[in-house]
Amino acid sequence: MIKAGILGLGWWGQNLVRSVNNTDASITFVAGSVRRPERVTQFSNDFGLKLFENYDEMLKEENLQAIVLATPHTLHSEQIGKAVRANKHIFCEKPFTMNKSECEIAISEITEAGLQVGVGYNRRFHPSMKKMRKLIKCGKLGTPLHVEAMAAIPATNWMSEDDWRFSELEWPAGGITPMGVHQIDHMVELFGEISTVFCQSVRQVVDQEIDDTTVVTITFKNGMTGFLSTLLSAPPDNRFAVYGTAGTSEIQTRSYNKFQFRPIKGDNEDIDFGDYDMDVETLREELEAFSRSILGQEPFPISHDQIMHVVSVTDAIIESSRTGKLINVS
Amino acid sequence: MINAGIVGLGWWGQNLVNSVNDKSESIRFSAGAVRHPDKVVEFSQKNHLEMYSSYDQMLSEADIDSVVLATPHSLHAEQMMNAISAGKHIYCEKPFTMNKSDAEKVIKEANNANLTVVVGHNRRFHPVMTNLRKMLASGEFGIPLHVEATESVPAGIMLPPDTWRFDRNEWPAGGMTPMGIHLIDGMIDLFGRVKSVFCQSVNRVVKADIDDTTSVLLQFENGMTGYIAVMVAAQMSFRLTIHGTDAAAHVTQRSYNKLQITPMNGEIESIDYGDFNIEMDALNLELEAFAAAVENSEEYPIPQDQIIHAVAVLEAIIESSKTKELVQVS
Repeated sequence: MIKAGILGLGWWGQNLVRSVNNTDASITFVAGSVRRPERVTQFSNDFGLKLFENYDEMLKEENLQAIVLATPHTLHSEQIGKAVRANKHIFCEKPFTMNKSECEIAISEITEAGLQVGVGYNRRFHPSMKKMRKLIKCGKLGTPLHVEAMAAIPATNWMSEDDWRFSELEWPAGGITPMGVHQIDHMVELFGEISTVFCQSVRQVVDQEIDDTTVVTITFKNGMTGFLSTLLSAPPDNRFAVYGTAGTSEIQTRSYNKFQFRPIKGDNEDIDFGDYDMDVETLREELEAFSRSILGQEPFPISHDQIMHVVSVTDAIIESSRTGKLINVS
Repeated sequence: MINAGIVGLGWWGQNLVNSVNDKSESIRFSAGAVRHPDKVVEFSQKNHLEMYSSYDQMLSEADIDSVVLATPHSLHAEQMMNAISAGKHIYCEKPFTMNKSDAEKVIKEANNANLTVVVGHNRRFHPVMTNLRKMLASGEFGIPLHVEATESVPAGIMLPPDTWRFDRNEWPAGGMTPMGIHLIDGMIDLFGRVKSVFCQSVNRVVKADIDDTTSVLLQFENGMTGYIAVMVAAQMSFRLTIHGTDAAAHVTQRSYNKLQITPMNGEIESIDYGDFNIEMDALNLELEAFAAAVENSEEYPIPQDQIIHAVAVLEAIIESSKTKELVQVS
């Protein structure tokens, strides 16, 4: 059993704890660090967390093998560094870091220290995504030509005005860092490295200093093209569609629970994953994959190269949104 | 009753004839010009078409007041100028012309000669478009933020490689001239003028000198963003999605017959347009609208400035596909 400490117990941090504590998962949270422990007393009692007001104090706990970060994006890189120096394995919520150089430093420190790293691209573990992966791998889509992804939420309705997220530092290209990175990760996993991006990111309706509408076109090293859009002031939705020469496949709805396959030859396939709860069940799967990597059973399914490449792509998108130019991903 | 002569009796030309002959009381085809009349003997006899092997001969000899062009894209401009010289009204299949200056010249000449000239964007006549237009005007979507449309056909896999279509002069940016122009026209209809475009267009698999996968980012003068993708080597598909602050709309199916409205709050609404046929029924409505415009009884629903603007957007997309740069629409 891997014992972990969590940093940040907001909505998402609590989801992470709920997904494994009081279950038979191979990892459990025993400690938590938040700025105001009094706000989460009940929660930490329910799930058996020892609370710390200070991250450094939690890192001194010798029984902790791993740290899980569910904190504002811009803090990740420094917090990862501290965990490495305390010799803890690290699971970090997406986005891993805000730029490529921070990411390279973090990965090389983690590797040198012989520690494991996981990143929270939980949607990779959704059964719709497993189905999509299999179709592509078995050649059922033929040669993939083009991929399209979109994610929409009414962030400004769902979050309070003073949420840390509403900042150009945290969300520099609208919904790309909170939502789009998941789909960039899917693209990188399924189709390999991205060579160029071109982004247009605009603020049309929201009062906060963030872009509510962001669109990106993508080219891949393998010759494919792609598209990604995110909206922060629209009804919730998600879409991930792959167009190939032998068929088209699409994941739909914010839950990812609707899956469609439209082959040129053969029968259409529609799958409904019913009430599968992505926000709980995929978290348990990703945390268990992380614990298996610590136990030396199996490498974490998201490689260091992929973690770094997703950060590089995000970096390039942000740069393109500012310069209005086509950017080569470094 | 308007008597029209059709130029080109391929698949689409025959659709046009079938949509009105023996059905419409305002327009009928009575003549046709094709390079090889022997190939369409049965069809022309059945529809009582007086056949010519030369367009010029039809213009000078046939008892017609209008011509309908269902010919290769690159020929449209010259064929329209010939019709104007012969004093005939014109219905021209999309794309109207391949560049803005040709479109302006044709329209100016037709206006000077007091002749009607219109373009065939049949999909505008589908009732779903009328419905969307009304919903946008009534504010049902809130503020529209973003629009996406994707269309794919397996032409590049199914059609013989020597079809006239597989030529960079006819399809300079893959599926943009055969399919994308409809999507451009639909967006102009719903959201007004397009300010800039960025296009990436590639050949991935088709063994002919055309692009098979083309995607475009658009910015509208009203501040919205948009996206169009067309593929000519993938399974048949169509979608049009409007994301507004209060609701999203999804048109699915190549027939345009299914509309789903997802409001921010409340139940998802599905509208089914049953068996409305976007080819036969829409062409019938469109040719009757043309006849009404010729008779001066009603204005054609696509204003001349929109005909020119759609061509200008297409031209900008073609340019961007070559330069790989953002292009301002002239």
